[in-house]
Amino acid sequence: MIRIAALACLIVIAAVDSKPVMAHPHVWADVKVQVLFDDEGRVHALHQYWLFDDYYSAFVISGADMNKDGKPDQAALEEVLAENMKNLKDYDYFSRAWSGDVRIETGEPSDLATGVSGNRLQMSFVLPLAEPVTANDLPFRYAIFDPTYYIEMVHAEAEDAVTLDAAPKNCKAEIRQPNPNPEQVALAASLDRTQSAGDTLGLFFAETVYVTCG
Amino acid sequence: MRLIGVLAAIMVIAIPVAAWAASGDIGWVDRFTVWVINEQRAFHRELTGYLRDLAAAGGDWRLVWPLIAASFLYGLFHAAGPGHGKAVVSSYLLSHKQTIRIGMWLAAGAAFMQGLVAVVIVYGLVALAGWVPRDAQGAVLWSERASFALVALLGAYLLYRAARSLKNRMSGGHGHHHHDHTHDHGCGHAHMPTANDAAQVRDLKSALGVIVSVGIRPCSGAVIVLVFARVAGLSWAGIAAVMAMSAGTALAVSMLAAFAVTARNVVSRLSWMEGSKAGWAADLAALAGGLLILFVGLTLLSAAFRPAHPIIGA
Repeated sequence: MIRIAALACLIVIAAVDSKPVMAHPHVWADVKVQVLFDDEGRVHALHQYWLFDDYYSAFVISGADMNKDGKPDQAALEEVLAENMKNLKDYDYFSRAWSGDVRIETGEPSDLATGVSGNRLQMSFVLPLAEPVTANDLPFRYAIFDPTYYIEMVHAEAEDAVTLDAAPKNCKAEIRQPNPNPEQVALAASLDRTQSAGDTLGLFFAETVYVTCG
Repeated sequence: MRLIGVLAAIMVIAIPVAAWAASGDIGWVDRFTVWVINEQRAFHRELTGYLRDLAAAGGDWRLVWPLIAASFLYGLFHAAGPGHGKAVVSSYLLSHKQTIRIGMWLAAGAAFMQGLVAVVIVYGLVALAGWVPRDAQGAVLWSERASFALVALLGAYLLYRAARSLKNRMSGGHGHHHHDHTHDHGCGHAHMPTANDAAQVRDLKSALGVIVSVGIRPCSGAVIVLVFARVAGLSWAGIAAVMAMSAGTALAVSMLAAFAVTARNVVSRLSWMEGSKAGWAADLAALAGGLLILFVGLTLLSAAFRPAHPIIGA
């Protein structure tokens, strides 16, 4: 009996080890964002530029080189863009916005564009907010992240990583680094495999940009 | 001797159980999760950085060594986190009698097969058959599903085998003690060469089942590395990096395998049972192991029909 009990213990330990696979980023993208303000000084859209690393770029560009001249065909790149944007719809275009702590829904993207600069693939689009919000009383904030955390999206290390377009004079933006809460991460990591589009692991590792006016 | 065995078994069992029990309310497992994710990210960044440097230097072979070293460490570290492969290998080795040598071969075989499948996907499907890399990532998703289905099948097979052996015991048969190689002192039949041979062949079959079911699932990250290397004209470096990753994983998982076999042996040595009782115990353990592997396979399979990643394709 003791032997069986001991073996059962060991097997239970092995089962504990079968906790879901943890995701970690395999691909990176540098993000630049223009926060677009309307005439009334409210944020109404985010113009996003995603510059992918050499890996994802090679992945797409080599598949888009139809005539094998070593250069991608613009038409094929645009096909990939359209396909990506279609798939990203279920993921809210990897974007989340809040006014204070209240989530702001986003709409359908416009001004889609893609191209290659150097060896790197870029995708850009304008993501409108469902309704414009001020950043006066409560900060407007957003995060751009891959919820599955397969792609790490970070703001580019550049002066123009976040720019405020047509903003009132007293507005400023600040990028805050993530400070993942271990409990939430562990929970998200364990949900990662069993939930489909609803997983949120990436959120806890995402930068948040705070826009405040006044 | 027995005292040492008892102490060793207590250590082997008590420490993980205590850690596991403690994990319920104390946050160290959570913090460990964050730490593992951050380390994996750092290792992966390092290895892709070295490959990028190598490409930038036009394939200067002196820059290959840091790439190989980083890939090896990435593979080693990656295997330190939880994963279904390790769960299957350790459940199998804890519940079925195997030698340390076979246990380690099994772990290494599965790890190298994972690397090879990634190479086959990129060079077979993309380079030869002309698939676009994105569709090749779709193939990764399917091989993942195949892997989980095979794990479930393996579990069902082990379960069936153990159940059949138990049934024979219940009906008083003595000729089916194949699984029990250590505690067959009381039962002369198990020493019959034919029975032993048959048992060995069967155990090799189940060991192969472990290798294939675990190994057929490649790392989608390896596919991305291989595609980049191929486009940069560094196919050899990409394949070397993926093999180094496999070697790191093989080392880590074969250590776990050796541990699992040893743990099982230590527990077996604790046995106060002789002859047929020990045989019963071995069959029951095999039954539990088969059930667990079946459960792991079905759980993973049910989760594997997730949608593909929106922009990667896997």
